[in-house]
Amino acid sequence: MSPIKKKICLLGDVGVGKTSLIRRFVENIFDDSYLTTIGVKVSQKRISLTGEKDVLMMIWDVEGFNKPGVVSPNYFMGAAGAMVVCDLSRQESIENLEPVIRDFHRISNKGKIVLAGNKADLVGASHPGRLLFRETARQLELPFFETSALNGQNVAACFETLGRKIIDPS
Amino acid sequence: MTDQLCNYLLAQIHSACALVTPSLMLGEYSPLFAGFCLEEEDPLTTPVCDLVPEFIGLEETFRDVIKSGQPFELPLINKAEHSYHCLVSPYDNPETPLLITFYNRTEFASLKQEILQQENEIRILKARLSAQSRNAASGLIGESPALQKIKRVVERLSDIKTTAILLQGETGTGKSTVARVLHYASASEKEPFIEINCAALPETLLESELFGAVKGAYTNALQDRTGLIEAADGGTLFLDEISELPLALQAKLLSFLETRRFRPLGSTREKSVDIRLIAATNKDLEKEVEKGRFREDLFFRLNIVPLRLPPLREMEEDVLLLADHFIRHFNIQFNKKIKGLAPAAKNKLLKHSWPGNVRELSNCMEQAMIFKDRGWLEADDLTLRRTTTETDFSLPAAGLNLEKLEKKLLLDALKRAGGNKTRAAALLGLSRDTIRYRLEKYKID
Repeated sequence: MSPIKKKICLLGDVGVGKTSLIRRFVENIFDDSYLTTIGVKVSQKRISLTGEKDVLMMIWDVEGFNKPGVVSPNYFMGAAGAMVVCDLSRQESIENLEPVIRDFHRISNKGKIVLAGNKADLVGASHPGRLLFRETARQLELPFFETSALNGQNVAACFETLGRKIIDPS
Repeated sequence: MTDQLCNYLLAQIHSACALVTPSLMLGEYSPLFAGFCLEEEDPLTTPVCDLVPEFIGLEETFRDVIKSGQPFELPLINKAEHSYHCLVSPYDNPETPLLITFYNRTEFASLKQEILQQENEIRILKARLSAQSRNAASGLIGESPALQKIKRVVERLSDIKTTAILLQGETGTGKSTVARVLHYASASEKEPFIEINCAALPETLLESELFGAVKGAYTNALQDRTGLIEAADGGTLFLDEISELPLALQAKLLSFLETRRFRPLGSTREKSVDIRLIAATNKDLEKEVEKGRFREDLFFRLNIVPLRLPPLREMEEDVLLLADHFIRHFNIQFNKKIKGLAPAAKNKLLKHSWPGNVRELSNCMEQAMIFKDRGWLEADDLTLRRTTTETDFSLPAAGLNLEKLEKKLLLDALKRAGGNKTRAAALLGLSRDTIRYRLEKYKID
């Protein structure tokens, strides 16, 4: 049976690990050398959700928001959802979650969102970055995951949650 | 012939185009366009918005282009080592009213990549440094009661800028780290943190280094020189190993602490600054005062808020938390993939007495991680300094008072065990009954 095709975007500040999350999810590999993404790259991953039709995710790895307005809003057109990513060790990337979500919703106002606080492996249990991320997610009332592309922590869960939200908006 | 030429030209510049029908099916397309389509889909029977991954979800957008006549573009799509600019524009043909073009922009993307790579790397590093400053208190790693106490005091002191603070503790206990934490907990990033080791400079240089000097103040003073006190204006001056400060300079420092004014070497004009002074020493300053090596008045001026940093051996299992912190740190620094400490390695760390404190632990972890790339650190990977054990102990030439020594050891063990007799007994290799007997013997409650 052919899967449902859905477009999702990975958005967030530069260097938060969007490409690494996609590579971990799609290819199950991790490479910690940093190569900044220019433009977009689309990867595919078919996921099976219990009781649902398979979903073929078209995952848009969108270049980082290094300053407001630099990322083409056309990248968000037609997206069913977005994973908005921050780096738990960099406070300003957490503070930027809200403006990034606002930019996305301006184009795709019904798009579903999950938050990923990445690089969880770099910060201790009581690191202020973790607390700020949890607090931000609660205020925004969005599902959130503390992820690590390095060790795979919560990566699949985060993508699958977004997949479920897209398929079953209730 | 025209189509052939067109396709040839497009192939030469590694670009592709396609014409699309009003029902968003592919009409004509150049050979390279097939490379943009999903392999498992048939280009002749699949709508273009199901065929090209980048067009999934764009049905409405494509219809808008036909309807409004306004083109739609997707800049810099990366695909198979190339970058393309995708333009979806109206085409003046009712049968195929949409033209899709993928222009090759690989060269442009490479240039942009080169510029942004460096810019972004700097941005990330700056943000991380700034976060480290803001989260300075999290630099105090550990959950032991001894460290919790330090954290509480640091929190209290962070808002009080005028009082001098005296940090005391064995070498390697992190006095410099605590000084930075105190500074960053209250200061903005622009306020300076100036550190000087009083033992590192000869007396003659130390005065001009601290207070500055005017041109001609001494031979080779060819121009005015700003001292560290002035450089720290608005921020923090950290004087490490304050006990090594020569007596003459101690008097000048005391005068500065009392008035917040000082006179650079050779100058007749006084200067005034607003700084927080943090001093540190690994010596017992009271004893230095008794021996006449440290001014009593300066000691009292500095000792308003004394903070004693505990040695690592008193921080119980914090040693493991710190070791984990160093593993994370060196994994990044050396690009390693060490998972953590194996149980035997943890045991080895817990049993060591750490005479060099946190610095010794840091060095131990660094050394272990230089020689290992991945996996768990095992006990054999950790090289520890040989420390004196009970069997190495020998009677001093002048003899000793065994009862006094026994009493001191009992008190030390109780202190380290936080008053817990069972743990104190374990530290001394005694049973609970034996320690109880000995405590009664020495009337220790």
